[in-house]
Amino acid sequence: MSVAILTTLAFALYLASAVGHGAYLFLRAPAAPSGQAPSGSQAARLARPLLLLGIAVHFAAIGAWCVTTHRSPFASEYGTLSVFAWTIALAFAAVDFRVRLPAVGAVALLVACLALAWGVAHARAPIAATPLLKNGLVTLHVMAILVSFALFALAFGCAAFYVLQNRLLKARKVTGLFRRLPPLETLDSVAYHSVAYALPLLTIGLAVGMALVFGGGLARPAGAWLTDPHNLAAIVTWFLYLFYLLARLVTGWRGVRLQYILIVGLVVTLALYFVPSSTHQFS
Amino acid sequence: MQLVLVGLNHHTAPIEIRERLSCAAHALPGALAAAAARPGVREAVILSTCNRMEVYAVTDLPDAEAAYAALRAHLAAFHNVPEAVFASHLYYKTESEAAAHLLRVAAGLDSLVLGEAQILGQVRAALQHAQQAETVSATLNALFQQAIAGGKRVRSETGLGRGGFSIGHAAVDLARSIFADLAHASVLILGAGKMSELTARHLVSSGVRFVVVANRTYEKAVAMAQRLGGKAIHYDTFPQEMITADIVISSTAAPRPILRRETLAPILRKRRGKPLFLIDIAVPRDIDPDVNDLDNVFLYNIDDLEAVVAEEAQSRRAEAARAEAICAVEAAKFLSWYRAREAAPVITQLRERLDQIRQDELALLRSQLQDLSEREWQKIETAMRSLMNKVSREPILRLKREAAGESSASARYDLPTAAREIFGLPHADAPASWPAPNAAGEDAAAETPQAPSLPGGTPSSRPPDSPCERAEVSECPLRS
Repeated sequence: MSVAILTTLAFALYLASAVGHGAYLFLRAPAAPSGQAPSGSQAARLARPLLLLGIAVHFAAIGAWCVTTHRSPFASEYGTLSVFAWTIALAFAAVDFRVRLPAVGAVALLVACLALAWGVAHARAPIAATPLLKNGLVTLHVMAILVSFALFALAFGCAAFYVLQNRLLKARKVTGLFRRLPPLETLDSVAYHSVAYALPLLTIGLAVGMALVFGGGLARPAGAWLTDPHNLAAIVTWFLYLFYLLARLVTGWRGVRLQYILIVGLVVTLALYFVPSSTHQFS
Repeated sequence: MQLVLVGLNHHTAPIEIRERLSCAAHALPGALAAAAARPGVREAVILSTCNRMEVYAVTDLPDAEAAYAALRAHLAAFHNVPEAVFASHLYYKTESEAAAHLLRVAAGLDSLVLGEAQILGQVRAALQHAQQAETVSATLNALFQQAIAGGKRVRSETGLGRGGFSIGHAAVDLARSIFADLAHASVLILGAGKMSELTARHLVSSGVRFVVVANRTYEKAVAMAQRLGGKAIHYDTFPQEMITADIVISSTAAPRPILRRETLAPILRKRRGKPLFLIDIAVPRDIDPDVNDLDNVFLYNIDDLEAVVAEEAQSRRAEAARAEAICAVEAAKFLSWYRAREAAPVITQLRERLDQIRQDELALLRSQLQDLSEREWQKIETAMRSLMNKVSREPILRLKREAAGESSASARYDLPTAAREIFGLPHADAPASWPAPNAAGEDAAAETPQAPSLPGGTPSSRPPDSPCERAEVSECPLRS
């Protein structure tokens, strides 16, 4: 099967799974006070297998693209965004096996669909031909950073739901559909664990990048890399999430204020992606 | 055969009557055997709960009144209560009404507490008792299985099965919106009142394991702590306890708030952002409403909790409408199957008749064509079977549809129209070669399927079993 068919299929599966998670929210009976487990609808029960199938098909699509072009997926905007979408789906699937978060799933998978669609929209953009991208360290650098971004996005989703749930509880408006949002503690815990895995990955990604810069593996002088706003944004992101982790681990902080750090964190992360970089031009 | 229900419930009978007719589990085999032993009763299931006593039966008695009388007599004889005592409290239902009633019962729509879950298990148990007593066969088995399936659907697809919803339930629901696992949450009770104990009981039954009670009279705190499986502390030490508590239920008789923003602020600093759920069920209030403005504090007073209960009641009414729709669909499924069974004897007879014709024709052919090989005979036999199936397919299908009430034809037929209907033949004008009634005279008119001059009006308005109509069709040239 061609890359286009596999990608379209993966997109459809992610979308179907997102709808399934949404249906779980809308169609399941609210938890009974007696503690009896609520049962989901048929659509909701299909959400997880659809997601797993989507991840497998998407992996095949990325692999097929690499085989067809003989390039790293990070040589194109399509490949980079496709891998990003895949890591979001994978990260959510990993969380989903620990704790059921249909609300987060519906949003996370829609974000994955969006990233994938964006990638497909840029599929005709030129593919970078630099041999640098065949360097294993560069692949590790990009992959580690992309996975950390996916986890930061997941943490952002949890934080956003936390803030929403917090406001609803304060306003005494936890009614209807909102009663089915995950508990504050669960959202806080998933957000924390996402960052706890993401920050070391971001650290590895940045460390490998620095090693490439200072090890002389790149054509541009080290000074150019250090003054690039893109790289500065990466360092700001790293410090921001480090602050979050230290606040959680060292001082034992919790609660709604900490969630705002995660929300700001994703904004900075997005800025990091969209800020034009003078040093990350490879075409 | 007909399906009947005779019963009474909390709507129609006071407890004094219900208890006289109630049937404990150990007495059910005897009651079922006695009901099934009544003349004309083919199947019987007894649903006896604290709120209802219902006998479902399939009878071959001539009419519903006779069936009702038989079941009424059974109730009177088995429970040794004169009919006059309970007859006015009974309700009687038959066929579709009886089926729809059981569906509603199993869904909890007919329960004292709307949507209560226990009734589904009781319906299942009633069927099991009847199966063990061998008083149930295909019809009631299918009806009860359908009712159980419908009840399950209502529970899984609507919010009706949430049981009674009180302030305690509202507190548990809200706590579940904050804490991931109530088993790890701790509750601090301020004031050993009845309401606070009731609310705490809901939390304990939902998994909370750590309960601390503080009361101005220490002995009362100890007594309540013992009842809840927690520990008692002296009242003046409760601020210290609030540093670790997750849920605080306050119900003291203090005339002024005991928890204010400024008293809570230092405690919150020590809690480091850990969420605190405050339930203030005291009147006058124990907790200053400003406290809700503090980060990670969620304050609900009695009015807030009652608003949650009211909202729940509102949504339950909407859920009941959804549950009714599910019950109607499930009842229709059963009735479709039930009515289709009425056509079964006709279908069997039709198949047997056609098979007999096939065998006779085959035997005739065998005597006339003796030089055919066995393989050729097999082909002939296969062709005849195929022909038989094709001819009978449409009538059988239409018979089933008609019996299930799915047929679009609502009028009674004259036999030619019936023949068209059961064989699925298109309506067509008489062929040109067909003799016109006037041209062929009275005899021809009698042979014409739709002769307008026949007595009894137009063919379509005549009863299908009219002797005139039978005579007319028996002479129909189409048969030759």
